[in-house]
Amino acid sequence: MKLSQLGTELAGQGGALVLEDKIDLLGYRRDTSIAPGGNPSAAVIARSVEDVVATVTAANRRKVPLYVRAAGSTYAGGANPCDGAIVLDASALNRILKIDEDRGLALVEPGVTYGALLAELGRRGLTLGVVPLTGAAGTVGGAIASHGLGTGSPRYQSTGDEVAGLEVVLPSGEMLRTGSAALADAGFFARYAIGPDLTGMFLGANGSLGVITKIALWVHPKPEYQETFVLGFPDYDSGASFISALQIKDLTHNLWYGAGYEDKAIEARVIGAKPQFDRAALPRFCLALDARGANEDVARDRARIVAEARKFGGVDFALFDEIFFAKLRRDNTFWYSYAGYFARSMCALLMCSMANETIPRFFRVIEDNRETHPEFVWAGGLVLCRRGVHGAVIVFYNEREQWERVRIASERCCNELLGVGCVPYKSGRVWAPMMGRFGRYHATLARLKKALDPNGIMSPEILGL
Amino acid sequence: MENLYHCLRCNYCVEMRWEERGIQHVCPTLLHHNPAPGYSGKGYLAAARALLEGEELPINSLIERFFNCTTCGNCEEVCPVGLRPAHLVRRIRAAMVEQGLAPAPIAARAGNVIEHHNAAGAPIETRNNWAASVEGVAADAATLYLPGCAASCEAPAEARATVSVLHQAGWPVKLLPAERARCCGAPLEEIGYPAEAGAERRELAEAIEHSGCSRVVLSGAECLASLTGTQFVGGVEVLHAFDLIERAVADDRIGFTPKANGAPGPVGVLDSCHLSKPSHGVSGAAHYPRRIRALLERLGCQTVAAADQGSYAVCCGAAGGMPQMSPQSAARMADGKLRSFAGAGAVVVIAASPLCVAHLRRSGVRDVPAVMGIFEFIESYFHLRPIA
Repeated sequence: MKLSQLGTELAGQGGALVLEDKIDLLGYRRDTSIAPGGNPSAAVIARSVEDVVATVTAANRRKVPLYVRAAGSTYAGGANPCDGAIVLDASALNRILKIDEDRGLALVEPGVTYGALLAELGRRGLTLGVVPLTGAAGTVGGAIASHGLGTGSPRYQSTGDEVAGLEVVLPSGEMLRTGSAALADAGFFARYAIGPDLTGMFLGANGSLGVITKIALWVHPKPEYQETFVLGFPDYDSGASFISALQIKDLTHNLWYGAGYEDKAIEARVIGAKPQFDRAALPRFCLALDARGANEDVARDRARIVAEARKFGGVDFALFDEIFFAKLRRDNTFWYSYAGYFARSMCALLMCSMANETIPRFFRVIEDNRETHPEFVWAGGLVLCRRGVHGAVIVFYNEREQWERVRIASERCCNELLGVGCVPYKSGRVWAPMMGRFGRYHATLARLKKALDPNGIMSPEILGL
Repeated sequence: MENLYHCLRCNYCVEMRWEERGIQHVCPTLLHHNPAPGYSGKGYLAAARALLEGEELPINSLIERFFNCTTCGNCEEVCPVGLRPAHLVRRIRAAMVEQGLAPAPIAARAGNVIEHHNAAGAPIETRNNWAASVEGVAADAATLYLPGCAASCEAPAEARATVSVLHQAGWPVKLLPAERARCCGAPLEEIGYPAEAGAERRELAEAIEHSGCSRVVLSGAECLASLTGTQFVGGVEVLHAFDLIERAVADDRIGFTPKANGAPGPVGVLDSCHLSKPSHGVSGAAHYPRRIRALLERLGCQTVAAADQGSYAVCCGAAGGMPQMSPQSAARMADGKLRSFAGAGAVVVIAASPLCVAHLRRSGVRDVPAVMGIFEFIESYFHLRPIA
């Protein structure tokens, strides 16, 4: 397409900036993932909803693929365009429109970063239910469009569970408000209203069904007290059984973060800090927990959790907390831990969800891949949720020399994960080749896509659509 | 070059806020010049990677992007994996300069230093004009005072005040003869002339050694970074003038008495990049603005902090050739800084870098807050006396 025409068409809208220079477009080729990117023909930095409508309309008229992104810090390739596409950059749509303490929600634009929103909420003694691990620069729009998880997941599950409603520009250029806000005068206050939940259609959709332009998020009181502790288990089976007991007894209520570490990670951290430590005395699996709330509630829950852990052979593993976990969680330094994974080299992150009984098989897949692909460094970890867990397979590789090979190995690993009952959590392009495995679910999604986006311009190929 | 492949595209160098660490924004160029990602830390890394892989990139756009960076280093401060985009910018600039691709305003600035030995291009014989009738200059002093190009030519009041304050504190200073004054090389280094920077620095080092002084006291923040790493024959102590005052206060060798006009009201202290960022060689306890705030509070001044502060403060736009390449953008950066201090209630903004003082004064479009060098401030509001 003639890019200058796009610029002309958008001129006089809401102040959109149309980027055509190849150097500026380099930054839009890929996100943090291993997924291949393309060379977009233009990027539009939208500054208003009118800009979004105009861009979607222009792309539709020309039948040019359109991809939506903000910070681009997700790791499943959901923001990676195909060649010739237009990229709609929502990062300048970054206003916090309202913090409504009566309704208990914040209304924000998609480009608002978690760092900015948490700062504003913190001033009022408030916080968000789920804050993803991607860091201070990660945006709310990016997280909910790609299924974020992290702090708050043991209590609230996923970023999408904390969304009260959305404003979306549909591929036709029409505006949709979901939940109670479908009635303009009512505004956002209830997600489940009127009929089926249309909000959910756009969560995790990576912009393939529309462009999210406003997000209503539930807000919560900021916990007054925080402490961390770690429990070690002799094997994955006992750790998994303990997690189930923890969840069914609602002992996750005051847990704001929980991470499961495999034997290799435990050994690396402990022996790295204490070389003389007896390796044989290390647990095979540990669950590190970050508890927050009223001091007495945290103390009470901790005692109950420790007692429950003992039933499954769990023991206090204070050393791991001391050398690693407490520091990681203090003052949000976990935001850097996300990046810390990358400090040694680039890494592929394959995110999946699983029922607790799948945990031992999940770690088995990683172990098998270590043997099959010793040219990469393989690691795995879990994030505790209100129900089930999220798993991350982390594959360290040399971007300059191993990018092609790591993609092949990762695709094979994804298939193996599916084979043991893990399902993709962040899908984007990384899991797109496996979407055929989801039968009628995916066929229905494709039909919805066809109905909403008959020209197929919105994020083609993402989610295998 | 391997580091080019370690950028994980986390976007920290583009825009983020991290309240607990005093990070409000990151990149002054993206904020005030152009928000396109080609001007960001990750954009520079991506462009360098593309060049390394043999991609053809539009050269004029490359020049425009690589020469519109203040080289403040904030992108390096926030990078979670320790990448150094500002360092890369300096290297790419040098490669462009070598190929004759320096933009005219940059070449002109370099020409000033090379021809006149100061970035402002003032005739060399006028280099010490600021010192006319200043008390405290002595030919036999053991301390050599180097105000630096910025203080000599663009913020002479700060140079005069520094000598006056040092004199009141009992330290007479010697000056280099105007014809031997040279630039420390920092302004050339930043804009892509490392060889010429090295030549200037060597000549300055020789002049310092020739002065016979055992101590060099500086006003220029960028001079401090540039000369601290220089090896001098016979060993010469290099320090910022504030170091000297702070040391004397700690040793109870000088006392301060407020002047009759009294303190002006809340003061803000600018976190000049060269004096506050680890990427410029200043880390931990060395952080000058924090130490200046501590001294001012000890003297009974009320200090206020801008929203962005410490090692992560956003640059005021004075350095890296920004005022020459894009004066309007540099002025917006300065105004953004002053706005931030005004918002915190400051009626005066103090800077220990004359380069920043001159730039803020030149670009500021407001009367409040007023901008002063740290020694101007001390001299304006305090009498100093040596304690026997």
